[in-house]
Amino acid sequence: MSKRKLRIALAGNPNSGKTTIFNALTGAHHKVGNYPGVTVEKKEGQRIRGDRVYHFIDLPGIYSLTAYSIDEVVTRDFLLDEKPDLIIDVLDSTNLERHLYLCLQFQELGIPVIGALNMTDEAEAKGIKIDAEALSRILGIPMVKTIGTHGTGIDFLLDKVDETMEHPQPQDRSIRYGDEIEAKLQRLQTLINLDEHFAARFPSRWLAVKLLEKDANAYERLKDHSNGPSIAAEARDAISWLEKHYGKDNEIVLSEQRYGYIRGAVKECIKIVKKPDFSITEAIDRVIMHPVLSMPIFILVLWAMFQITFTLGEYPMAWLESFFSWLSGVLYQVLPESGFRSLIIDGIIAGVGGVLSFVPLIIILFFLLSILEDIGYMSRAAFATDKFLHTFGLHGQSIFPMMLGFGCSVPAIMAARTLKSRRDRILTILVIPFISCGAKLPVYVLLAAAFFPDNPALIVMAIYGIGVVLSLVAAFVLNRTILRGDPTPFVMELPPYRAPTLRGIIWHVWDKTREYIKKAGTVILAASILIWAITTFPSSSLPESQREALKVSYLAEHPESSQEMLDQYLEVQASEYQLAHSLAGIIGRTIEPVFKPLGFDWKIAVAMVTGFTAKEVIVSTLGILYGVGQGESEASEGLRAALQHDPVWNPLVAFVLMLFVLVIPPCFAAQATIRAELGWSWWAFSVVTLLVFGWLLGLAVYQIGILAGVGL
Amino acid sequence: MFLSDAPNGASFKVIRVLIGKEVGKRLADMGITEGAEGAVVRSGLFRGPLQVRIRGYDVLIRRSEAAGIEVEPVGDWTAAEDAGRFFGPFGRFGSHGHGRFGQHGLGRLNRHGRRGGSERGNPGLEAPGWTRNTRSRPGWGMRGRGMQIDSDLSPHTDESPREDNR
Repeated sequence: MSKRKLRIALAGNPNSGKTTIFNALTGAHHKVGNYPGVTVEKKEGQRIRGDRVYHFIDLPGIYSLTAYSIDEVVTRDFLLDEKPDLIIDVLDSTNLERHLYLCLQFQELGIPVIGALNMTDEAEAKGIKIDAEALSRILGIPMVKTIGTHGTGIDFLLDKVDETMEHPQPQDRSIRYGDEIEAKLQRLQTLINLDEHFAARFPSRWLAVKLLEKDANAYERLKDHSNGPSIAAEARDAISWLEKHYGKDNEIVLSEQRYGYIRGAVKECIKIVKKPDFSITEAIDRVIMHPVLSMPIFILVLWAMFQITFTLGEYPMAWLESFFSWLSGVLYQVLPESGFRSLIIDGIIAGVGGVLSFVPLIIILFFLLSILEDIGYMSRAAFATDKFLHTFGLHGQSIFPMMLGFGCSVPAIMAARTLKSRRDRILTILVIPFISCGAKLPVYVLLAAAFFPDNPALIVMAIYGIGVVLSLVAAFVLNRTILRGDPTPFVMELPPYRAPTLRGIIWHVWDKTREYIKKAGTVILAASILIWAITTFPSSSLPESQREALKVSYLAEHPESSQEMLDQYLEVQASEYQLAHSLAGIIGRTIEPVFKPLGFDWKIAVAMVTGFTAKEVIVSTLGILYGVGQGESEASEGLRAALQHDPVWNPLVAFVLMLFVLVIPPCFAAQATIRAELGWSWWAFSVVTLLVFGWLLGLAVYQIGILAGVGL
Repeated sequence: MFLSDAPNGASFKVIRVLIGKEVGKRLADMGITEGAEGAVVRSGLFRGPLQVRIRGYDVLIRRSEAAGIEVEPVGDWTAAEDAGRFFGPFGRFGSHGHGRFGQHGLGRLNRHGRRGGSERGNPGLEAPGWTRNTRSRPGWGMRGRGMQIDSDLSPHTDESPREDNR
């Protein structure tokens, strides 16, 4: 006997506890994916009870079905195009008035709706008494009291699902919008129902309401059929008549009607027994959202987050690094000497391993970030920073992604998803590269120590500061040019503080980490192989005559050196020769003229080419090119001395290079993330503008420096 | 009078939302519609966002958006403002939402209309609560809005902000 499968959509406002209900309904059987074409998470899960299979789809939390944000578009398209058998609308019992607003819109879709009055425990603690029966009678849909965190009411909810499937709800149970609007709606509904094409696809009531609400997407849906234009024209006539009649925008009138209806329902079904004198949320907010203190507190939170991430993350990072070096060592022994061994060790393990060793950092960072998000701190942070950021065209919510950028651009770009408007998302992601990530630090440290020995820390801090200023300036400029458009509204719910659930956080962290690892396995792998190839081919070895000459000169300089030291020296010379004659070296020499006006020679050009994949590589490339070996770190005396002795370098060139490294496009992993979040064209825009701007900035600073006689 | 002019702790009733299109709809979706009553809980530094309690929940609204929401004071705003000032930034604003600083509020004993219209030669501003808030400065996105208070007492004319947002 085949089981009957029901497709049930779980929908509701953000902060309604939808996820806890989803978890309680589905247990551990989750499947996480993305909605087609967008980076909105799609969670699915199943539950089997009796002879029924309940398949749940967790829709993103939304406030309205108007489709201004990606989340709303995803929800609307899913409900309209995939037509689930039933919608469970999760409602926050402590805040029913606003949550019911969405419920009324679901009722217009012609899909059976069940309301889950969630968080009834919280409501009771607040003295809110809800008469679920009366509410259910008024709205014409079953209402079930639940407590998602305890799993209370879940079975009853499923009973109601069965009941609803057996006794279909009456089709016409949506609210009445008043005589004038109803007359227009009736007319439009008749027109829609007369057209078989539309009648088969869309619930006529919903389409008529959306047309009167001037929903652009509804008009879009009308276009693909010959009767569409006449219906649209009819709707426009109706709108202009109604707007004249009411003296305000029609979509506002409909919203008011809904809230008016809800007000009535709430008055009848909800009794507030006592008003609490003291609310914990309010008490905490007096400090956290204090006009003066909120900003320092926010900075403190960030600082603590970074401290925890980097101190805790240091250990697993070191373990991973030593694991990969151990792995390289083992493979070096096991595999025969060949191009293949070099590919595995110098290409794949060095590249992918390097990226994977960041995984612990990502896990910790996102763990902390999820806690802050679940507690409800994000909107508080936005409150503290919006005024400042808005001056530059950014949104208060941009602050977290930008701050994460100091750690690593990859999670920073991914965190920009918390921004609801696409414009804000694009703007934030485009300016994140100006925030110096952890990988750029070694480059700064090496150069500052070598050329500004008096005060290296000050120079490094100055570069960081310049980065922050540039990101704000870039936001300002973009905001006034290509990303103009309307200022994004800052109308944001401030949820009460709530305890996070460990389960939700773990899911969130796992999700992000998985994505990061997937990226390391694909894009980074390809990039690592590419870089390995251009630095390895065409393979050439140090000519014997040159080798002898180097040997003689080395022995003359270091008469008492051992054979071992000589061998090491020659090996380094060989790899320098190899790199200089490889494709990377050839590219470096070819593009040297481009970098000449910035004071860079071909060696720096090669380092920039390899550094295009990841900024850490710059130091190791310079190490090879200056013949001090690959294993040298930024603290190495050898590389520092070598740079100081090369006439190409001087403090000005070092400073220009630091600026250049600050501005040029981020590592491949970050670029891949930009592409995944925004698509190819924004990726190309980001890379090209950053390259051009970096070059122009370097040129300007270098040439002005020369004119002013600095550094020579 | 506009929501952007409301001091901390002030209760209000929405007369209408003058911002059209997306923002207006968004505000309406969030429950800021004609007749809705609410209170300003607190506001950010340097005319930062407002925390508004409305329909039983809290919402943050940027000052420029708040400047497009025409409201009617409920109770005495001047008193609310004074109370907020007296208790300093940790003042007892709005823990109960509506009307906390209304007729029963702490500021009841304050001279009503201390900075009232008569001082400015506007006798028309004598009505309770319609005292001009000294803190009000033209908002960000709604430059000059604060200066229209006098004309806002009369029905909207063609120059009303509603038109420039269409």
